[in-house]
Amino acid sequence: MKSITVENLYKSFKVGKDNVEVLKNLTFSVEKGSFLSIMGPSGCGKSTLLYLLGGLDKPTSGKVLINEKDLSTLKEKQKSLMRRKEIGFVFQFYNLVPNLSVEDNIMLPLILDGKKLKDYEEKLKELLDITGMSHKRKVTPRELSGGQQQRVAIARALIFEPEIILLDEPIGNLDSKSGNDIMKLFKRINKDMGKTLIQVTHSHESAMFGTSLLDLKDGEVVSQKEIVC
Amino acid sequence: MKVFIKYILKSMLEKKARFFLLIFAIAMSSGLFIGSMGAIDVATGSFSKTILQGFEEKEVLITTMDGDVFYNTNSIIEKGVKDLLPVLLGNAVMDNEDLTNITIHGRETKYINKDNIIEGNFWDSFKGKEAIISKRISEELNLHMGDSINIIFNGKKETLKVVGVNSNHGLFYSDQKGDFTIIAPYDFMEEMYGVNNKYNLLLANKTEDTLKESIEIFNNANKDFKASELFDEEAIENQIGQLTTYFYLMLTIVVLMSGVIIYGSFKLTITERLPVIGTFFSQGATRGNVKAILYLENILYGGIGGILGVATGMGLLYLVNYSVSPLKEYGIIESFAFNIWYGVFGLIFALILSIISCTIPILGSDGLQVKDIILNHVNTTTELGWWRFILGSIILIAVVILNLLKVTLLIELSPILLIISLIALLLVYPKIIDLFTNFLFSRLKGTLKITGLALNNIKTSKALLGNITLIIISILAIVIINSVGFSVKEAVTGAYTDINFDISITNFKGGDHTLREMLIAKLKEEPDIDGMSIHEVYVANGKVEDNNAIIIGVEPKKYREYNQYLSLKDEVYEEVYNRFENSSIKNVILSESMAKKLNVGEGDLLNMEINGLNKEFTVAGLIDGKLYYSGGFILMDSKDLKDDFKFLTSNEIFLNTTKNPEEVKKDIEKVVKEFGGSISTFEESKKINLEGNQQFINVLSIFSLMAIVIGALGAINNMLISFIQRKKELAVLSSIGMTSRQRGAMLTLESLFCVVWSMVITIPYCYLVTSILSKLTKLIGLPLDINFNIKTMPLFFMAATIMILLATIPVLLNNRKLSIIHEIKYE
Repeated sequence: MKSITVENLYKSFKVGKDNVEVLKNLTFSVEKGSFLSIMGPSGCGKSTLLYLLGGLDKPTSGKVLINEKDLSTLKEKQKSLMRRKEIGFVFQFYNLVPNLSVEDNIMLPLILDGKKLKDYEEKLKELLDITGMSHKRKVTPRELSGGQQQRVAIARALIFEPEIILLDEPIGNLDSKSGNDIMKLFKRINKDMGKTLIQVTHSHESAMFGTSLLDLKDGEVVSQKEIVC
Repeated sequence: MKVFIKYILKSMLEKKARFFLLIFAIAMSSGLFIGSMGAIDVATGSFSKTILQGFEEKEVLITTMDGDVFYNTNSIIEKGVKDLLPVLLGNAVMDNEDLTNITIHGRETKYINKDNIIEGNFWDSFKGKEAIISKRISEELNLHMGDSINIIFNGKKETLKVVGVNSNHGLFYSDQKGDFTIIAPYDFMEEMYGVNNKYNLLLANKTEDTLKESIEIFNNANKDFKASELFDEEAIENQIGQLTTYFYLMLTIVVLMSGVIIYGSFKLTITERLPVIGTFFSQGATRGNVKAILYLENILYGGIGGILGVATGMGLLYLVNYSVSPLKEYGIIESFAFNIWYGVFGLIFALILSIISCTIPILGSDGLQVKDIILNHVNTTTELGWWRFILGSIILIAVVILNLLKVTLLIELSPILLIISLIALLLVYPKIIDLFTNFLFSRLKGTLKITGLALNNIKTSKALLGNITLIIISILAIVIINSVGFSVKEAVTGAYTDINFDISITNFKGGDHTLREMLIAKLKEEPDIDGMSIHEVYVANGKVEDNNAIIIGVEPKKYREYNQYLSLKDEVYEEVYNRFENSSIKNVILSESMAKKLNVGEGDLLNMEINGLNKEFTVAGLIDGKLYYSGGFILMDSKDLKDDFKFLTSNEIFLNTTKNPEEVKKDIEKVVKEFGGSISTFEESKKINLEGNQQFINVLSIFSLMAIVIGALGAINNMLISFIQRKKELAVLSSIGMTSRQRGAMLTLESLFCVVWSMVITIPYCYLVTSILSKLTKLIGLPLDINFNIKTMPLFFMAATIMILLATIPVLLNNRKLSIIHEIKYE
C-alpha cells in the first residue's frame, strides 16, 4: 500500500523576472512503512519536494497523494489537520517553540487539536523514554543541546502517531555522534513503529539509514533504488 | 562613513510606518515639553494683556489713605508716577430685559485717547447725556451715531446719546455683548454722583525702571495718597502654575510612552538589521562602528522628530493662547511671541529622549555573537529574571509605606513618588504575569488550547509586554484626569452643600461702598429676604512679612452660620472662634496651610499690610482651611478691614430667603443690577463653579487624548513587532497543524489578554496613584482628596479593548499573507 504518490510534479519559482524550474516532472511513490532518503546537491529541490509532500507549498502542476488523498483537492484547513494528525515534521533547526517546555512542545499538536492531555500522559511518557528526554521534560528548548532539541522535535512529530514523518536535513546541524544517535532513533521508529519516513539529506551516511534512496539533480530524479542493509 | 549614512537614510525610509511612528512619538513628546514650558508665559501674557489694555497700559493704582471713595487730585505730588488718568467710574445697566451690565467711565475730553475714535466729532462739545461706545458694541447691539442708550444708574433712568464710536482697543478691549464699557462726559457723572471736581479711580504710569521703585517714590512723597500695583502678575502666575504642574505630570506620562515606543521600534530595527550588521562585522567593522551607526540613525530620528516637535509645541502654545484669550468669540486672539529658547530646549529634549530610549537595545546587542548575528539566530523571546521583580517590589512597598506616613516632606516628594512607583510597577508586573501564566498554563493547557498558547506568549514577548506597558500608562493618564475631575466635582459639590446661602450678589465694579450700603438697605426692605442673614464678605490681597496672603473680611456674628464648610461651629474651634468674635484685641484666624506658610501659631503677632497700610494682629487660632481659597487664607473681621486698612470693596453679599430663591431673584434682580451687581442663586453659583473647574479638566483632557493616540499607534507598532519577531514561530506552529484561523485567533487573544492584564495591574495601582495625587494637589496649593472612581473602569476597559482590536487588524492582515516555507527554510 502506498503512503505517498507523486505524479508528474512540477514546481517553479519566480526569481526577479526569471522563472526557475526547481522540480521537473517527478513521478515516484513511497510504500507504507518504508524509509525513503532523498539525496542531492544544494539547490536540487530536495526541501521544496519535502514541503510539497507535507502540503506546506503548492505544486505548479502535478499531483501529490498522501494516503491516497490528493492534496490539491484539500482546503487549507484540511491540510492543517492532516499535518497535525497524519504527518509529522522534523526540521534541521528543530523549530521548537522557545517559550514552551519540552513536554509542552511535544504535546503542541494535541493542544492545537483540543485533545484531553491527560489521555496522552502515557504516550508522552513513552516518547520521552524513547527519545531519552524524560529527565528534561520541564525545561525550555534553550537549555538543551542541538541533539536534545532534535529529540524533542522527533517526539513532537510522533505524539499524534502519524503514519508519515517528513525529515528535513534532520542531522544537518548536529555533530556526528549526536547525528548518528538520531539516525538510529529514526531507524527504530521506522522499524519498530512501522512509520513511513521520508528524509532529505546531503549526507550519504545518513541516507544509508533508509530503506530506499531517491537521487535528485537539477530538479529531476536521477535514480530511485532500494538500499540493501 | 558616507556609505554608512547612505545606508542609514535608506533604511530609515524603508519602513515608512515605523518611521512615521517614531517621528510622531518624538515630536509629540518634545512638543508637549515645549507646551509645558511655555504655557505659563503664554497664559500670563494673555491675562496681563487683557488687564493692561483695559486699563489703557496704566500700571499704577492710586487711592486715598483715608479710604474716601471720592477725592480730588489737587494735592497729589506727581513723583514716581506720570500721565495721571482720573476717572469717575460707575456701574449701570441697560434698561432692557437682560439688564446688560455697563461700566461708565466719566472723563474729561483731555483724558480720552483721540487716536482711537473712529466716528464722531464731539471733541469740543462732549457734555451732558452723551456716550462713546466701542465699534464691537455698535455692531453687536446695532447702536449707531445719534442713537440712544437707555440706562439705569444709581436707581435713576437716563438716556444717553451715542456721539462717538471708538475702536475695540484700550478701555473697550474686553467689551462683550452682555457686559461693556462706555465713556460718558465727566460732568454727567459728576452730576449723577453729586460730587464736584472729584474722582473715584486714579491710574498712572511709572517713571522709574521698576514698578516697585516708582511706587516707593510716590508713597514717600505723598501722605494722603498711596500707590499700588494695578494687578499682581505674581498672583496670576501662581494661579496658572497649578495648571503647569499637571502639564508636567502628563508630559511625564507621554514621555514614558514615547520611550516605550522608541525602545520597541529600535529593538525591532536592530533585530531586522542583524544580517547587515553581521555583514559589517565580517568586513571588519568594530562593535563601536556598528553602535555609532545605530546611534546616528537615532539622532536623525531625534532631530527630525525634534524639529516637528518645535512646530507641535508652537501649535500647542497657540492652542493654550487661544483657549485663554478672553475675546476669542469675537475673533480676537492674543498674539504671542514664541520664545526661541523653548525651541532649542525642545530639540535637545527630543535628541536626549531618542538617544536614551535606544541605548538599551543598542547595549543589548553587545551580548550577541557575530556568528549568531550573521545566521540570524538571535532569540527574540526572553526569560524573565527575578531581579527586576525584587527591585520593583522593594520600591513599590517602600512607596506604599512612605505614602501611609503623615510626613510633610512627602508632600514635597509626591511627584517623585508618583514617577518611581510607576517605574517600579513596570519592573514588577512582567514577573507577576510570568508566575500567574506558568501556574495557569501548567494546569489548564489542555483545556485552554489556543487561549493557553496566547496567554503563554504574552509573558515571553517583549513587544506584547510593551503593549501592556502602553495600555497601563494610557489608562493611568485617563484615570488621573478622570479622578482629578471627579474629585474636584465632588469637592465643589460637597463644599456647596455646607455653604449656607440662597442668593449671592457679586461683581461690583468701582469702589463706591455707599452704593452697596444703599443696596443692602433696599434688600432689607424686601419681605421675602431674611434681613438678619444679609452679610458681606470681603476679599483682600495683603502681605505678611513679605508673604502674599488672601485676607477674607467677614462679619463674625453671621459668618459661622454661613460657612459651615469650615466647620467653625465644631467644638474644637469653639474657643478659637469666640476669641475671634468677642476679644477686645484685634485678632485673626489662620488656615493651617497659611499658618505653615507664615510659620506662625496661635497667639503669635502678625504684622499685616493691606492697601499699603500696616497693622498688628494676634492669631486667635488655626483652622483646617480644606479647599476654601485653596486652603490658604486669613479670616479677619470686615470691620477691621474697613477701619484699619480702608478696604471698602466687598466681594460678595450673601443672603437667605424665606421663599423660593428663584422667585426672590426675579423680584430683586432689577434692583441689584441698578446698583451694578450681579445676582445668582445658590444653584447657579454652584453650576458656575463646576463649569469653571470643568474647563480646567478639559484642558488636561487634551493630554489624555494624546496619551491614547500615542498609545494606540504604539500598540499597532508593538503588535507588528511581536508578529514580525515571531513569524518563524508561527510558521512552525503551522507546520505542525495550526490552521490560519487558529493563528488569527491566537493573535487576537494575545491582544485581548494585553488589555485584561493591563486592567488587572492598573486597578490596584490606581488606588496608590490617587492617594499620591492627593498629596501632589497639596503641593500645588489645590488640596484635593483624590478618589479613584472604579466605576469608570469598565468603560476604559471597553475603550482599551476597541483600541487594541483595531491595532490588531494590521497584524491579522499580515497573518493571512504569512508564508510558512519562507519563514522556516534554511537554504
